[in-house]
Amino acid sequence: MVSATSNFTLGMLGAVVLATACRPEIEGRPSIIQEPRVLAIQSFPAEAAEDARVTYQALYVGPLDKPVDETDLGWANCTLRKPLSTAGAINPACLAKSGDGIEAIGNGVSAETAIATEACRMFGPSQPPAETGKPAVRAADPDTTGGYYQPVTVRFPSQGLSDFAAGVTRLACGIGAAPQAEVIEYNKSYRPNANPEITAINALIKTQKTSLLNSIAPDAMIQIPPGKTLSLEAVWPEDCGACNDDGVCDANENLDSCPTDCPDKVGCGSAEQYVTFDPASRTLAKKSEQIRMSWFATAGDFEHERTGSNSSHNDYTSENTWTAPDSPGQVSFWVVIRDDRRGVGWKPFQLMVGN
Amino acid sequence: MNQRFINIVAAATVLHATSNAMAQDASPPSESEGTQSAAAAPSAIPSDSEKPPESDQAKPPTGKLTKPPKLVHFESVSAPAAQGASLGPTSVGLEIAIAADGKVEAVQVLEQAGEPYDALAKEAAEKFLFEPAEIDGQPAGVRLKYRYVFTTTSILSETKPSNVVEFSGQVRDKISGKPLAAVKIELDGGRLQAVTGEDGRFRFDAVDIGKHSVLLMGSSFTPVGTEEELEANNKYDVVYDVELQIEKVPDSERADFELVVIASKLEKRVETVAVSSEQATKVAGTGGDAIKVVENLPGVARSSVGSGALVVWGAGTADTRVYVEGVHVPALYHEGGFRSVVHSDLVRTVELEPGGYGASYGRGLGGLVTVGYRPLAAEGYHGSISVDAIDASAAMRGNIGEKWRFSGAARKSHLDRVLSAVTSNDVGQFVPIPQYWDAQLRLGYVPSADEAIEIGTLSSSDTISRSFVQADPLDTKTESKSTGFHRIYVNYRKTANDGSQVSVVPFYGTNRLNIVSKFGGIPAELTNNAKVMGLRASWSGPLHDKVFATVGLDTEVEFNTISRRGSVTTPPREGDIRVFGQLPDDQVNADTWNTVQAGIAPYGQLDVSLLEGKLHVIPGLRFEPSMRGGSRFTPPEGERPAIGYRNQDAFLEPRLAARMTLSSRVLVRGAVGVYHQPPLSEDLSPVFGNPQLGASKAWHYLVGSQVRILEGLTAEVTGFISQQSELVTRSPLPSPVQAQALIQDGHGRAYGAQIMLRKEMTAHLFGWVSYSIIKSERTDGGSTTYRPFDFDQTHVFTALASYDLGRGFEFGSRFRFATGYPRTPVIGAAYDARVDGYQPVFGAHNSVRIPNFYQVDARFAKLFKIGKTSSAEVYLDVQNVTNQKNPEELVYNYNYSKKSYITGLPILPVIGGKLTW
Repeated sequence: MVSATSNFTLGMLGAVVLATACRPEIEGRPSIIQEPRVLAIQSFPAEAAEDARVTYQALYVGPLDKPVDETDLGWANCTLRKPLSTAGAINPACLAKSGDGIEAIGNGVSAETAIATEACRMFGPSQPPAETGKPAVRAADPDTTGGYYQPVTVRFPSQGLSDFAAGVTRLACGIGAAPQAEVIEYNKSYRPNANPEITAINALIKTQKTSLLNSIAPDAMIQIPPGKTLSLEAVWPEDCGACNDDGVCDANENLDSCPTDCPDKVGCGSAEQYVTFDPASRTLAKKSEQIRMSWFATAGDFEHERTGSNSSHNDYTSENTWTAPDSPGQVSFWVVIRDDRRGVGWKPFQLMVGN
Repeated sequence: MNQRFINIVAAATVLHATSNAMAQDASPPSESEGTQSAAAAPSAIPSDSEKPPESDQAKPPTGKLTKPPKLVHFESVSAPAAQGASLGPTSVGLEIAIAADGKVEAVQVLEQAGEPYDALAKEAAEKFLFEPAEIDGQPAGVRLKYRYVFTTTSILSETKPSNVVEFSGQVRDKISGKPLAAVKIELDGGRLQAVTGEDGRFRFDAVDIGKHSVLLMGSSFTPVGTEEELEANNKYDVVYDVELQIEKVPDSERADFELVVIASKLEKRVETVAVSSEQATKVAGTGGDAIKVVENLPGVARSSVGSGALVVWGAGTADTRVYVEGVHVPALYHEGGFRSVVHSDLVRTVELEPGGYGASYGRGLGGLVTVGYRPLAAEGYHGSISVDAIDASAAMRGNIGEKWRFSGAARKSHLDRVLSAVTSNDVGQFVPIPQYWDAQLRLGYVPSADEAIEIGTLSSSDTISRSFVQADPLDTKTESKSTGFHRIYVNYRKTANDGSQVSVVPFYGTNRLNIVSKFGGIPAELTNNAKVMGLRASWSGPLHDKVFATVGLDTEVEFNTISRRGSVTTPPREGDIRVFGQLPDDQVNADTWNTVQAGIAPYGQLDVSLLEGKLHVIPGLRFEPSMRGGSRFTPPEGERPAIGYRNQDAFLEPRLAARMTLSSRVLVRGAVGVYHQPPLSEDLSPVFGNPQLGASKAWHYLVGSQVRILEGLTAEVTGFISQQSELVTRSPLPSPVQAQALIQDGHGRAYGAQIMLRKEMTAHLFGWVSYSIIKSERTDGGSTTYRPFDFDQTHVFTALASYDLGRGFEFGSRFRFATGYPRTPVIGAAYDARVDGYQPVFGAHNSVRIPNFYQVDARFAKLFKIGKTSSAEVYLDVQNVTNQKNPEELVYNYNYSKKSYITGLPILPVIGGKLTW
């Protein structure tokens, strides 16, 4: 049934107990690494303009008894726009070894490429060129953060259905078809995205908050009893703040108000504030990034596969719990942080389960 | 006795009147000269129900007459023809004193016809038996005036000459099938006459072979005529089903004229698939909602759980038009499909024409559902209250004086509160629990028996909301949908003496749609507020004795104010490839636009009778100029102002139908027609759709047959083809032309057959078996390859029956089988590193199917009589008696490596009660 704890009974009048379609329990355990998988793709910089150079890095992991070979990864640019009726990151035609629209760019855990010269026409707000004598062609729609993206794929050996992972680089294309005043204000105020970063992962061990990020080397691994449940906390930086000459240009600063912080409009690894163009009201709106944490381990059980934050400035942590397996052994962890402008970061650590 | 022919110049005249009494106990036609037989004319009664004078035998009643007496046994007599007697009817006026037990106490001749008629009539009337009258609810003696009618019979010869044949038959109410008494049958303009008895039967012993005009006249319907071709050495036993004018029906008989569900419109000698409301509410699984019985008719696909969609002959859910009393409404059922939008107590007919309908309707590529109201009550106040776990409702009807009448009904759901009280978790997280209400109000004025005007309102509202909260706010899902409509209308009808009818129905109303959903940070919002107005006006009547005409005007205007935000694919449309639980597309946009769509369609239709009435050819033509306009032709861009547009179209829609009576048991029919459907206003957005969309088109072809296998057992077979073009589809291009996210190059086709075997209501049992085999396909934008339609159901089988166990107990059961809907399989997946999810890779479009559906439903009911006019019914309606785990939707795990099915409702008992007075 939908919920094992739902209790459907007949009331006094034999009232109907209705409405339950039964959903099978087939979800599985996406947080537990049981085969080689790509868990994240980071673009650096997180946001880039046409012709800019970007570097991609993949978080490619496997269970301890199946170590991965990073040379197995093959990277390719996808130059095909996704059809309007297709949901997802990428045109399905790019999920192939080769073909039209697929440009190989390298092998290994990282690859470097350039943003396409016409990226803002192919994937962004600029109208693609129309054929002679034919009407104008539709530009791409932005996502909820007002962003446009150039996709990239990485292929890896898999025993399941998924042997491709798709990542993106956010394009610095500005806003299309907006009123001129909004365009001007946007250009002053917009801060490019930066990849978020995890500054700490803590666990409550014997009533003490203990950092886990140093628990990597065999002689520094923290030991956890089998079956023990740990409270985990992932932390990211506080918001960048007002014009404070800190070298970081946040959403409250622009070229006029804070030229010292904003000549290059550098972001920070927090839940950044930014401006975006709202197509409904056709005005700029200020937003704060939402942060998501994805939790992975080679053994044990997490309470949640993903946790997040709300858009409040005052929330810089995300909590979860993990229960150790009953059998002793080393357990590897990866915690991936994402913001809703598609920036990515991650941190690994390890624990030893034993008495 | 001597025999002789009675010859009248220019024609052999044989009058032979029969009555129920004669059929039951009459002696064979007497071989006497000029034998005359009495014919029943019970409809000539009762003309007077005043207080009878005091007599020694009957004590004068006081108080008010609450029930007139009813003749249950008619005594017929035969009399020898008097010399020179007229061959027309002869009548004797009588006053009959009826005792409180229904027996005749005294008979007095008030109007003499001369002997021997006076004595014979008196003698016969003394042997009548009545169901006693009631005064103040108690049996009481009354006196009434009664006219005993003799019709002339001339028995020509024991051996009928070969140039005459016996011609007999029965006249029945077209809707309920009940026999009609006291209907006068005239052959050849009155040259031969007969009157039906209590069993609705009549007989002419000897009618010349050849063509004869037949005219039926009764107090409760407009005179109707037909033609019969009588051939030598044949015996004819016809059945005439006439449509009654309910206003003319005595109130005591009105309760019989209830809801009819008609699957195909048929005429004389062709049995309609008609189900009385009494039967419809007994069908298991309908929850007592008579209109829901439509879902059990052939050609109607089974809708998935929680859906009230009507898919008829493979047409889209928005392609079938719904009218209530000539007023177009946007839906027949509330959200979730639990109830219809109109209370059953108000409804007399629900007619489903799956395709090939006539020229008086249009603007739809699929079928047509027309709901007709019951007549407003002329006497008394009646009502009902019903409640079950899903909703509570009330209805009442009555009159104010002689000419003003009213009725109304209201209903409100409480399922959400019931579930909150009996479940421990928030079921609404997983399942949409509808909240709805509806209300109808009617006020009628009847200036004369042939004219009526009514003002009415229709209102309906639905709300569904649910949320699924997760630890990651971006995984939280919320959804709410609110729909509703209101209508106010006037309905004017007038019937002329020649049988022609005028009908005028103007209406005004609003439609409302509001959808707000959010999957994490991805919004999907759609709001549509519409004002609609329309006018349907028609005249129908005989142009000639062989030609019946209908002309009319069908006009509709709709103003829409629409706003939408979200991705192009949310909400999805038919043909979108998607899988349950898939993340929606995160590319979003927004638009606000206004539209106006108007059509004014004059139409005409003829019913031409050929081959002495055996063949009817019904050509029709509908001409519809239409206009479509919007506030924005291109998407918003910079400071460019919005530029509106106007488009005009004009469509000529020929329609042709024919039916032919091959024998007394077999009728064949066919139809072909052209249909157009304007685009949805929600598709006219320059951002999400295409302002340049025009009307889609369809051709319908159907051929069928109806066979009366046995009395009360009929079979109907229909084959059909529907071809559609210029359907609206998504642009397949990754970079479509601006303002053309939708294009109009889709095609569709549906073809199949359906059969229905029906057992009519006998004393205890009714039911039917229906089976449809239908294939429905579509092409998508830019493709010429057909793929299965999203709602294609190849096989649909329904068998249902209801049995009266006696003492108020009833049992009904229903078995259904349906092929599962097509789905597109997932053959791969790619990890979407942006969102830590998976993007499915799909196989061939709609190339697999959800497994087949089987379900048994049962209904138990007990009726308690309360007094003479009230009753209470308690019922238990159990859906899915065997707790079958029917798959309803295909579902995958997080990386699409495993698949399974979401199953539908488990065993579902609903207990309810209804009080009627």
